[in-house]
Amino acid sequence: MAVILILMTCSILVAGGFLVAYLWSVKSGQYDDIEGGGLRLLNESEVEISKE
Amino acid sequence: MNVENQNKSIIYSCFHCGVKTRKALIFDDHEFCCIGCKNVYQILTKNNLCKYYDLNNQPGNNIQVTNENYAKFNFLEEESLLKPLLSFDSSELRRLSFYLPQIHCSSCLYLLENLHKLNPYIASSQLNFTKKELSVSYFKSTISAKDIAILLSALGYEPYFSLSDIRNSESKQVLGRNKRLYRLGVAGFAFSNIMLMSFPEYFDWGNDVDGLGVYFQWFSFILSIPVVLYSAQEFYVIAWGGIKKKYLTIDLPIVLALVITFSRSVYEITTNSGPGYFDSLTGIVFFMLMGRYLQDKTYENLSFSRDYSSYFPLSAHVWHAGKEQEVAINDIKIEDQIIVHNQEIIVCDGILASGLAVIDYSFVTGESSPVTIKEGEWLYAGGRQLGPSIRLIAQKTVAHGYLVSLWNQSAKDNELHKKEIPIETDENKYIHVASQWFTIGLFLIAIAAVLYWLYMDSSQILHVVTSILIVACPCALLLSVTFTNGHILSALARHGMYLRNATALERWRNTDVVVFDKTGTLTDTIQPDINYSGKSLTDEQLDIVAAVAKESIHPIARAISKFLDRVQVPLEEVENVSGQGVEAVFGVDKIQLGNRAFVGLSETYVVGESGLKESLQSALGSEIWLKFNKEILGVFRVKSRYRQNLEFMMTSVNKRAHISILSGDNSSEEKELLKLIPSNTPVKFDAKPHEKKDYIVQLQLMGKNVMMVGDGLNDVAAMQQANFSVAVTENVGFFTPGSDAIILGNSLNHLHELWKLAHRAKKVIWWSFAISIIYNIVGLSFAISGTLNPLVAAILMPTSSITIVIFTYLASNWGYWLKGDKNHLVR
Repeated sequence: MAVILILMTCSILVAGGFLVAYLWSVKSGQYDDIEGGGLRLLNESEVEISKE
Repeated sequence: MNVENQNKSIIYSCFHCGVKTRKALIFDDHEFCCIGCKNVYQILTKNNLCKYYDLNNQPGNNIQVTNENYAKFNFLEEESLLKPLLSFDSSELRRLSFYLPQIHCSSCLYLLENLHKLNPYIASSQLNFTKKELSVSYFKSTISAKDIAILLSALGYEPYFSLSDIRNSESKQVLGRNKRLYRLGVAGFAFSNIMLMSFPEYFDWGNDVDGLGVYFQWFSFILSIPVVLYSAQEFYVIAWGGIKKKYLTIDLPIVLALVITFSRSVYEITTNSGPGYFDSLTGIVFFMLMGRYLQDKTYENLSFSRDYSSYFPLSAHVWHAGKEQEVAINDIKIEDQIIVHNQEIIVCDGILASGLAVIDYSFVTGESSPVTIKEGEWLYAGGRQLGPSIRLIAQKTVAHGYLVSLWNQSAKDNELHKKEIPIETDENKYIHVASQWFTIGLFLIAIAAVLYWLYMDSSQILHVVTSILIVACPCALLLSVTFTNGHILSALARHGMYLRNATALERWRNTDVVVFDKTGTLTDTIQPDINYSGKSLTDEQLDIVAAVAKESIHPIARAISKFLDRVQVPLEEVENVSGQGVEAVFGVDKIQLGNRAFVGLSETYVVGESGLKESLQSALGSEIWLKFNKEILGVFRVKSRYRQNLEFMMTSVNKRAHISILSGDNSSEEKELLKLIPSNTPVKFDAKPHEKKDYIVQLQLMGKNVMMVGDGLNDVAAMQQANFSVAVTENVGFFTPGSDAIILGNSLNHLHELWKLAHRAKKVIWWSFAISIIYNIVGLSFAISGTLNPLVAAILMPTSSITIVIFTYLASNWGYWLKGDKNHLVR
C-alpha cells in the first residue's frame, strides 16, 4: 500500500505545478485585461498566416 | 482613381465607419463617407493591415476632418510635462500610455497593436482592452510622443489626457488585488488537496488498517501551514487593527477560531489522538477570502474619486515672448496671457482680452446653453470655448479659481465632518454588531458547557471547549455579508449602477431624503426635445440640414443633426460664425442655420404661430433658424427633454423618502417639471453650487440622511456633503464628479427598483445569518455533548458554507434575471 504514498506525493507535486502556474499567471498580469486576451487570440493566428 | 458616385435612391454605408451617405467616395471598390475615412483605409491597405476590416464590419471611428487641431498635443513636446507621464524612460526607449476612449472591438485591438507596422520608430504597442489604455514603446530619438498622438488621432483614436494622469496611484491598487488572488490560490490549493487526503478518514474513521492515515495527517498539516501563515494574514491584520482601536471586528473571533482549530489539530496529530481539522480550517479560509474578493471586486475602468484634475488638461497655451508656449497649469501666473482654442477648456479665471468668447458652462453651472462674453468681461475656469481662439489675461492662479476653490472647500469640510468609518474593510456595520452578540453568546455557551462538564467529567473540558470554538466559527456571518454584498453589487452593475464599495450600499439604505439636480440629471442633455415649425422639408433638404447642423460647433445644433439622423451629404465652404450660427454650400444651395440675427430676422418675427417675443423666449428655450438660399424656411425649437418614465420612478422613490429638486437653471420649465414629480416636492431654481450644498446641510441639521443625485461640477459640493451621492452619466467613460455611485442615464428611471435591491441585501443577510445559526446549533449540540469528531466538522463546515453561498446568490438575484441586462460597461 506504500504505493499510495508515492501517488499522493506525485499528485501534490502536480497540483503544486498548477498552483505555481496560477501564481505566475496572476503575476504576469493575465487577469489585468480579461477581455483583451480573447480578442488578441484571433489576431495572432492571422499574423502567423501572413508570415508564410 | 477616385470616382464620385451619386445616386438619389441608393444609400451607401461607409466601408470604414459605417456612416450612411448618399454620395459616396469610391476607392478600391469600397464606398467611403469622407476623405478622412478613405485616408485611413489607404494607410491600412498600404501597410498590409486590411485584416482590420475582416474582423468586424465597418469597425472604424468616423474621422472628423474639421477636428485637425493638434495644438492640444503641444505639451507632449515639453520634457517637463511629458516626464511624469512616462512609465518607462531610458536613453533610447520610452513608454507612454494613451487613454483611447474610442476603442470598441477586436479590429481596434488588431490595429493598435500593429502600430509598429505603420511607423518603424514605434517599437511595440500593447493594449489593455478593459481600461482602454494603449501602452506604446518608441525610440525617443526618432519619434516624439506628439507624433504618436497625431498618428493615433489620424486613425480615429484621439488620445485623451488629463491632469489626473500625473498622480497615478493605480499600480498600488493592482498590487493589492494580486496579493488577494495569490492568497486565494494558495488557500484553494491547500483546501482541495487536504480534502482529497481526508476522504479515507471520512469513510473509514478510526479504522486505520494500513497505517497510512498518519502520513496523510502530516501531509495535511504541512499543507495547512501556508494557509495559516500566509493566506489568512488579512484577518490577523484587521483583527489587530480593531484591537488597537478598541473596536471588536468580526475578524477577531475568526482569528480566535483559526488559532484554536490549528493548535488543537496540531495537538491531535502529535499525540496521535485524532486526524485534526485541517480540512475545515483551510476550507473556511478559502471561502472567506473568496467572499471578500467578490465583495471588493472593483470596476477598473470606473473612477469614483475624480476631482477637478481629471477634468482639466495638463497644460495651457501661454503667450510668451511672441509665441505660444506650453505651461503646466499649476505654473500659470497672474497676468499671464492664455490662448484658448476651439473646444478647449479654460483653466483659470481671467478677463477676456481679445476674440469672441462663446463659452459652454454646462458642466460647471448646469446651465445648458452657451454664454457669449465680450472683451473685458470675466471668464471662469471650467468653461469650454466654442469657436475661434480667444486670449485671456489670468486673474487668479488655477488653485485659487472659483471652481477649484469650491471643490477644495467642500473637500476640506468633508474631512472635518467625515462620517467616521473605524474599520479598514468595507463590510457593513451590523456584521460587527452581530459578531459582538455572537461572541458574547458563544462565551456564555462555553461557560455553561464548562460548568456542566466540571460536574460530569472534568477530563473532557478542554476537548469540549475547543470543539465549541471550532464549530461555532463566525465565518458563516462573514460569508453571508460578503457574498450578499458581492451579488447585490454585481446585480446593480448589470442594471447600470456601479457602487464604489459595500459600505456605500449601507449608507444608501439609510438615506431618507433624495435631492435631484435637474439639468443633466433629470433631463437628457445629449438628446434634447426638438420641434420644427415652418415649411415642410423634403428628404433631400433634411439630409442637407442635418449635415450642416453636424458641422456646427454649437452643441444644440449638433443635437439637431442627431435628432434628424440622416445620411451624410458632402458640403462645401462650411463656416462657423461664433455665437451666431453655421453656414455651408451644397451644390448650388446656400444653407444657414443660426440665431435670429444670423439669418437676418427682426427680434419679433414669429413663424407658424402668433405670439409675443417675450413669451417665445421664456417658453421655448433655444431656437435655431433655418435659411435656405434667401428664404427662411422655419425654426427648430430645442427644449431640454426629461428622461423617460421618470414620473413612476419619482412616485415610487417618494414612498421611501422625501424628494427635493435643485436646479441651476431658471424656472422656465417649471410647469413641465411639476408634472413629473409628486405634488408636495420642494423645487428650487437658480440654485448656485454653494446653495445646493447649504440646502443639504440644512436637511442634515434636521437629522436627515441625504442622498444627492447630480451630474456636473456644479453639484460637486452638494454631492460631497451628502451622505450618499450618485453621479449620472451617459457613458461610463465620461468625466463624472467624485461620488459613491455612478448610474447610467438610461437606468435612472428604475432607481426605485435598484434601491429596492439595496434594501433586499439587508434582508438576505439576516436570512443567511439565520441559516448559519441553525447550522451552529446543530454543530454546537455535537460539541457540547463531546461527540464532535472531524467527520462531523468536515460535513458541517462545507455544507454550511455552500448553503450560504448558494442561498445568497439565489436570494440576491431572485426576480432580477429576466429584467434585461443594462450592462454597457463592456461596449
